Amino acid sequence: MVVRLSRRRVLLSILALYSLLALFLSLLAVKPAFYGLSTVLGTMILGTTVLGTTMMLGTTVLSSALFGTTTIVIEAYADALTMGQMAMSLVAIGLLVFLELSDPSLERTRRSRAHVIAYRRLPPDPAVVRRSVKLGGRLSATRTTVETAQKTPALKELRSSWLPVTALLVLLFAIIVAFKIWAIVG
Amino acid sequence: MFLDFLALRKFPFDLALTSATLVAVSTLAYSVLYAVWGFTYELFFFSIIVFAVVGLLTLFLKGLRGSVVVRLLYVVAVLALFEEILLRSALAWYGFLLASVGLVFLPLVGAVLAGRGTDVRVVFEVCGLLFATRIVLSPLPTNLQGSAAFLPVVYTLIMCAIVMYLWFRRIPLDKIGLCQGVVSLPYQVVGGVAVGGVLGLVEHFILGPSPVEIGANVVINFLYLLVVMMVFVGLTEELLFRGLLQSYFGGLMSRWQAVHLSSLIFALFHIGWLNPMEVVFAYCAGVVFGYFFIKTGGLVAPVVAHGFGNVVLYMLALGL
Repeated sequence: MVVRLSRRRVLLSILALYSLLALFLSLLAVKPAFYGLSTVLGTMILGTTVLGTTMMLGTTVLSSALFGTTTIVIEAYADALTMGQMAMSLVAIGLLVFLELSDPSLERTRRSRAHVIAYRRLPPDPAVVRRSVKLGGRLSATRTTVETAQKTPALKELRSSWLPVTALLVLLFAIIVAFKIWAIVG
Repeated sequence: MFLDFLALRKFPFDLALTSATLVAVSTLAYSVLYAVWGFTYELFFFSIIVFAVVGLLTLFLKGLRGSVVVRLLYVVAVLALFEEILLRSALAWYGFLLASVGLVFLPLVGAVLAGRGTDVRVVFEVCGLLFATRIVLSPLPTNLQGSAAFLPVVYTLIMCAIVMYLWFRRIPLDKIGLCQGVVSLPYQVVGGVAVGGVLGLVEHFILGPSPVEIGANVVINFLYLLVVMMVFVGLTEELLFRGLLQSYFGGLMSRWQAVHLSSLIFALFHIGWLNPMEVVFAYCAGVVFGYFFIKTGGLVAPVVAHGFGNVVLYMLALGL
């Protein structure tokens, strides 16, 4: 029996496969002394906590893990934790890009009903505007973006072309910074 | 059925002649120069330049003179050549700079030329992605490079970029070979393993590499090689060079010219081994993978051949 997956599922499956295998193989690369389920689980919990803290504080994983007995564990699992940080950065940047590309002017993806109504009506219903402001205030920008995109198709083309590339550059910049800090701390 | 898959009766002699010319001229030039001077970096770089120039010249003489777009593709190939050479020289920083230029400006060129069709735009954006694969490598620290996590990390990052691109650009997955293809899977796998085995033997003869060792455990070493080479290296590179590059080149030129040009760029991205014969070998392997891709309509056979070839190469090096 041949199962046909949707396009979205195929792409997500590839990403999931790569992420899981990369995580597994990086765990293989750590020192044998640190093998063991309890250590792995403990480190994962610790890592998650550290990642959460660092996301809140805006610092990096390794710079905040330099105290007590955590240091040696963090060093041993540095690859895995660094990859985790990379993945989280990627997800965060991906969400930002998604928000940008799902702008109604690009006619890309589903929006909430309030946004669709606001997009179709010119001028927008004041009630919709009020609701939209509650939702995050993106509506006022939407009008301007729609008009600009209609006047300049090249702008629309450029935005839809190089945004993913720009996101990649930002990601790479984040990696460079993370590794520089790792090098300094190490 | 299996003979149909090989389709020797319909073998593209035009492509074979072009490839043979390129391989013969490059090998001869390198052999003569090597006999006279012995191995030097200057000789290596000169041989690679000869290889790229002859490769592009054969394409030009075979009739691909065409439009602005095609000329720009020649420029992309030359950019890849110098970026790779600089990246492996004492002027690595300039190589990194060229890669950044390729990454940022090629998608912009695609956007400017978008009026000429979707294929044109995608071709330049994918060329930009090629350079992104080099920038991914640059910031990684040296202590990670010896680690078993290095290849998975690098290829996961590259695959993230590719998937993100496929997602936003809504590239049809059937077109880039992410489907079963027109030949049954067992035939594709058997064909891929057979050809990959031979390619691995030849590449081991050329390179004789010293591989990354995970530990003394033979099973873990083998599993690591299998997963890394088949999934990370095989799938990522084939998706990039055959799935995206060759497919969309095919919209701008004949499919055999597309095989030739994508294989040429694929070979240029193997300059890092610092062995001219490895570059020529990578070109030949690219032609074989491209031929598989056209004949099967999917990436299974190229991925299996590519991945298994690498597995054989490293298994021989490990003495497994």
